[in-house]
Amino acid sequence: MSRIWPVIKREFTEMVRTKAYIFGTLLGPVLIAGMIAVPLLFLHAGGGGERHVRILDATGTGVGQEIAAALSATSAGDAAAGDLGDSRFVAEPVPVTGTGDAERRAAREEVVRERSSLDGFLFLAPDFMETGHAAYEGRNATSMTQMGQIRSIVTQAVRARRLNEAGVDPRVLAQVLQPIRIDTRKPGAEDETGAEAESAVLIGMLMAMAVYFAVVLFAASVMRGVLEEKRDRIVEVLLSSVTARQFISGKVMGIGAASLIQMFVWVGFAAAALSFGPDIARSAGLAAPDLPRVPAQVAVVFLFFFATGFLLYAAMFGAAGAIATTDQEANQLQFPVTIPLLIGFFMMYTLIADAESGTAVAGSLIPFTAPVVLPMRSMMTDVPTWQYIVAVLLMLVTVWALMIAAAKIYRIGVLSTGKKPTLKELGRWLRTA
Amino acid sequence: MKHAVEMTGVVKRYGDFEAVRGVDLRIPTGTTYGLLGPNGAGKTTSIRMILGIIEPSAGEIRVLGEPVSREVLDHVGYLPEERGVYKKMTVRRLLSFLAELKGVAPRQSAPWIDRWLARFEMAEWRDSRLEELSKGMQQKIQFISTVLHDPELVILDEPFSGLDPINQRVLREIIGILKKEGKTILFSTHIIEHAERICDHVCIIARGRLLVDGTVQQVKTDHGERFVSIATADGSDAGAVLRASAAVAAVRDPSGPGEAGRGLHHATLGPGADPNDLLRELVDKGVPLRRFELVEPTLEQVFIDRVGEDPVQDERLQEREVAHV
Repeated sequence: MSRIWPVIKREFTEMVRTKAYIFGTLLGPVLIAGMIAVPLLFLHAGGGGERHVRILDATGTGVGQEIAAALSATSAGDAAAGDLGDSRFVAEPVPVTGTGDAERRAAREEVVRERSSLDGFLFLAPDFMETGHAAYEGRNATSMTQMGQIRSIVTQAVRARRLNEAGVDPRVLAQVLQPIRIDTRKPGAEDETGAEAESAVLIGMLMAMAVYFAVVLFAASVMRGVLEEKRDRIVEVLLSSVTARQFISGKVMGIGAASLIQMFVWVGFAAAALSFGPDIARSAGLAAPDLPRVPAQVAVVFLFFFATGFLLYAAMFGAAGAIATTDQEANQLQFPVTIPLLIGFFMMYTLIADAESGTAVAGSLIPFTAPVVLPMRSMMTDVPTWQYIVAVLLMLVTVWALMIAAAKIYRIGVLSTGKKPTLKELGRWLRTA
Repeated sequence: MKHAVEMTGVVKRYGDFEAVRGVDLRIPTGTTYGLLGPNGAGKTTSIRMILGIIEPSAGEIRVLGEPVSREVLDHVGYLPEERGVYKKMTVRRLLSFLAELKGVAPRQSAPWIDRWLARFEMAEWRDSRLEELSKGMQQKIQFISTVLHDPELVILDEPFSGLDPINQRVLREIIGILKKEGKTILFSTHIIEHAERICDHVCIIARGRLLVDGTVQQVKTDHGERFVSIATADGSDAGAVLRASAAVAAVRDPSGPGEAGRGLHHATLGPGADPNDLLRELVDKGVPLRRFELVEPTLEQVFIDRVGEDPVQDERLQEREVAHV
C-alpha cells in the first residue's frame, strides 16, 4: 500500500487541479439549480402564468359564454386540465354580430401590440354550431398543451349543447360529460400525482447522463495518462519503483477518487435541492416547484454503479492507453471502448417506452450497460431484488476479470514502443504476462 | 557486501528468442562499472531485469546482496535511456513524488530538493511547470530525480545520449560526486570512449552473452591484442627475425606512408608472451633497435575485436527486443 499511496495522491491532486475538473464539479450544481430555478423564473416573468383569451362569438347562441366560463375555471392542479404547469386561462366572451371581421381584425392587432395583455382569440363563426369549425389565433398557438386544453373545452361545450338540443336529460348529460381522470404513479410512490412519474423519468435520465459523461471523461483520462507516461517515457522510471499492477491500480484509484468526489458533490447538491428547494422557493414568495422524491436506495445504486462502472471502463481505457503509441491511435481506440456505454445510454428510450421490457432488464444486468441503465430504471420502476443482486455480482466479477487482463496488457504494452500490437500479439501478452 | 549486483546464469526468453543468454556478472561495490555492447546486445533488457521491471526467464539476480524486491530497489537510482517527465507538474512536486515512490517522505525530501536545485542553479525554477523548462533543464531535473533519494547503486542507461556538451559535463560532475561518496555506478553505453574515461570496471556483452569483464586494465591485457612497435636503427628489415620468434603471433607489414623501407614493424604478441623475452631475443640476434615500444590496445580495439561488426544481425536483434518487451 505504501507504494500505491504516492501514485494515488499524485493522480488525485493533479486531476483536481485541472480546470476541467473544477469547472465540472461546479457545473453540476449550477445545472441542477438551473433546472429548478429557470422554469420558476419563466413562469413568473410570464405575468403570473395567466393566458388572456377573447372568445369572439358570432353564433348568437351564447355558446361563447359557456366556453369562456369553462376555460376560466381550469387551472393548475386541476387534473382534468392536463399539464398546464402554473398557467391558467382568463377568458372573456364577446358576442359579435354579422361576420365579425372587424372584431377579428381588432383582436389581431391587439394581440400583436407590444405589452398587450391579450394572448389570443377564439373566433366562432355564425355557422359554427353546424360545421363545428372554430379558429384560434394567438401568441400561444404553438403551445400544444394550451391548444389541447382549448380544443377539449370547446368540444365539450358543443357536445353538451348538441345533446341537450337532441333532448338528452341534463342529469344524464352531466354524467356523460363527467371528466375522466387517469392517475399515473410508479409502484411504491406515495402520492398520486402524475407529475411524480414524469419527473422520475427526468431524474432517471439525468442520472444516466451523469454516469455516461463522468465515466467517459474520467475513464478516458486514465487512458490519456497512461499514454502520456508511455509516449513521454516517464513510465520506465516509475516501474523501477512500483510494479505495473501497483501503478495502474494507484492511477485508477486516484482518478476514481476525484471522480467520486465530484459525483458526491452533485448528488449532495441534488439531494439538498430536492429537499429544501420547495421551502426556499416558498420563502422567496414563489410557487413551490413540483419535485419528485428520490429514495435513498436509488442514490446508493447510483453511486455503486457509477464507481464500478468507472472501474470497468477505466480498466479498458488503461489497456487501450498501453496499446496505443500515439494520440491518434488512442482516439481511434476510445470510440470502440465507449460503444457499450453508448448503447446503454440509448436504452434510455427503451426504458421510457417500457421499463420492464426484456431489453431493459438485460441492459440493467449486463455490466457494460448497467451503470447507465440500472440507476435510471430503479428510479422509474420497482426493480426486483434478485436483479439487483445479479447485477452487482456480475459487475464485481467483470470488474475483477477486466482489471487483471488490463494489468497484463498494461505491463507489456506500456514498455513496447514502435507499432501497435496485433490482436494475436495481444493474446500472447494476456497468456504470458 | 562485496557485490552491488550479482547476476548468475540469467536468461531472458521471449518466445523462442533469447535476448539474454546466460549472463554471469558481478559488479563490485563502490566501482564505476561500464556495461558495453552494441545496440541490441541485451544491455537494456539486463538493466530492466536488475530493476525488476521485467522478470528473468531463468537464473538469479541479487541487488545490494538481496533478491530483487521493491524494498531493495528503494536504494537504487535509475536514469533510463528513454526518459521523460510529467510536463504539467511543477519541478518540486515531481521530484517530491519520485522521491516518495522510493520511500522518502515529502517532508524529508524537501530540503534535499532545494539543495540539489541550488547546486544546479535552478532554485528559482522550483515552482515552475516542467513544460516551461528548456530540454536541458528538464534533463537536469531527471539527473536530480535519479540521485535525490541517496541511492547506494545508480544505474545510468546510455546517459550521455541526447545531452548537450554542458549537460554532459554536469553528468560527469554528478558521477564524480557519486564516486567520491563511494556509490556503485552501473553505466551502459555503446560509446567506448565514455566508458574508458569514466569507468574502472567494464564488461562487454553482445548478442545476449557476456564476452569480457574485469578492470579496464585487465580487459585490455587479457583480451586485447598487444603490439610491439619496432624500428631498426639502420632501416634494415627485421621481419624474418620477428616471424621466427616464439613470442610473436603475427607480423604486420609496414603500412602507411613513409613506413616502408625504414625498418618499421608491428608485431602482435602471442597470448601470455612476455615482451621482455622478445626484446632479449632481438638484441641477441643483433637487430639494431632504434625503438622498441609496447602498445596497449584501446578499449575500443578490444571491443571491435571481440564484438566484431555485424550490423545486420544487431539491428534484427534490436527490433525483436523492442517488439517483445
